Amino acid sequence: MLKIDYLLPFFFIAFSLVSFAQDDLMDMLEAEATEELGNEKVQATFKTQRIINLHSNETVKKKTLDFRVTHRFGSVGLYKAHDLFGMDNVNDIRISFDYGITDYLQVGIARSKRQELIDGSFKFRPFTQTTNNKVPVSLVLLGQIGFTPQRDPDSLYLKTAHRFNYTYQLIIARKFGTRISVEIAPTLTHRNIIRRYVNPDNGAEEQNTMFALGAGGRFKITQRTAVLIDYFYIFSKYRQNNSTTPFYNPLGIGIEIETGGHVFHLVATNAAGIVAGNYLPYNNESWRGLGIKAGFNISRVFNVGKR
Amino acid sequence: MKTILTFLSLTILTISVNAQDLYAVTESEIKFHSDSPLEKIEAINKKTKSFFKISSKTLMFVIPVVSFKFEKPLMEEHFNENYLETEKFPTAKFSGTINEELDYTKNGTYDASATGKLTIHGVEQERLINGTITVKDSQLIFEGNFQIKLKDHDIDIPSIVIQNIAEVVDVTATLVYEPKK
Repeated sequence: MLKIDYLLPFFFIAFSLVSFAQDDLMDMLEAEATEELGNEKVQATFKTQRIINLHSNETVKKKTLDFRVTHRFGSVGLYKAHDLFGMDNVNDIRISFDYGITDYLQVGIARSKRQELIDGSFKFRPFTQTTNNKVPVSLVLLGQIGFTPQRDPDSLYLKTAHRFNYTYQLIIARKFGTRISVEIAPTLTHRNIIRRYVNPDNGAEEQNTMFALGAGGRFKITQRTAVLIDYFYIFSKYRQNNSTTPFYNPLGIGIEIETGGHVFHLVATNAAGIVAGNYLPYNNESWRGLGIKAGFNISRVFNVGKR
Repeated sequence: MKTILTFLSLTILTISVNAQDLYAVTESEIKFHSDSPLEKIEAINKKTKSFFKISSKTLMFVIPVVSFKFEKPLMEEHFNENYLETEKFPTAKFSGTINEELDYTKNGTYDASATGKLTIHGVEQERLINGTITVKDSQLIFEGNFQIKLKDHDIDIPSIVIQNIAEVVDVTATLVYEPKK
């Protein structure tokens, strides 16, 4: 009796070896194949470089060119029906070209109507979220230099250096499952020259350097459509409760439609202008005051040469 | 004690017998292309895992779908996100048997076919795959050619890109096996 007890485990081993058949093999293969998958980088956190006003964590892929036309109509409440709720007017237009040097580094140039701003930018993504969560978030650094060549009747730009402004941004993004993507983006903007206005209500002075915290998200509805939202909280005492020149935080909502090589965004926002160098320091219109602007972002991606 | 020892040596023997019977993939290339009026799409995957067991003629492979590499990065993104939904269905698999009785000890190329279940995009289909098996010393080289109808695996092509993507995709597979150690 004792002997059989000892032998029992060996019977199990022998049995398991015999049954080392189809199902186990398939499980082994699956495990092997998916083990390597764990390190895959999460794709399509956002579908394009921008959410609405805020940059997303996406960069243009290697050897591709992203041509974008971004348009904001006039404010809905300014002339109401007389300019078809802003449709006859233009708040800002931006044409941009961004090129991917690698899958993680892009450079771009653009021109906006506001301030006639010409800007150059880079976007670098040192970390990309992986499917096994070893890297839980994607990290992106964005730098943008703007130059305004506009005429200067008020003699604000005494030196060429005065015409420059800068935006630096750290983007932390994460995709949850297949539908939800969110990000936060601490942002710093600096203008080389400002008028030193004072807020009459709290005595705070306008500053050259401002800090803002951006946040945005995307919710995928169908395979090719999604809802977008983004918002900036601007940390500026001068801009708080300013009764003479009111300032507002930019909020945007939009719908995303993807059709192969194009990504369309139909948006509504109170942001003044399209680049951070415009909408962070100079935003005087609110949603409540019908300072909402309709607009669209169109992105078309071209492949430049073989990868 | 003696019984136990005999048993142990017997089990070890069975393991080694099993090992010679079982072949695992060392090199693989799964290629597919879609020819449509507007666009030619091609992708290659070299990460396939596979076993072939001579005694039971069992052939099975698992393809990590996300490892298909495309020429255009946007195609790759769309392939994973919109068509194959790789986050939901990370692998494609085949599990079946070789229909022919072949001598795997003699070098040469033989016509062969496999019948089994092909699962892509979470949808299982009974398939017959035709191809050849080449015996080259200790290596076995499987080559196969088949077509996949996207509709069969519930892969939807929206009407807006119907001109860009073929409804039937050609697949070529080359798998090189060696005895599993």
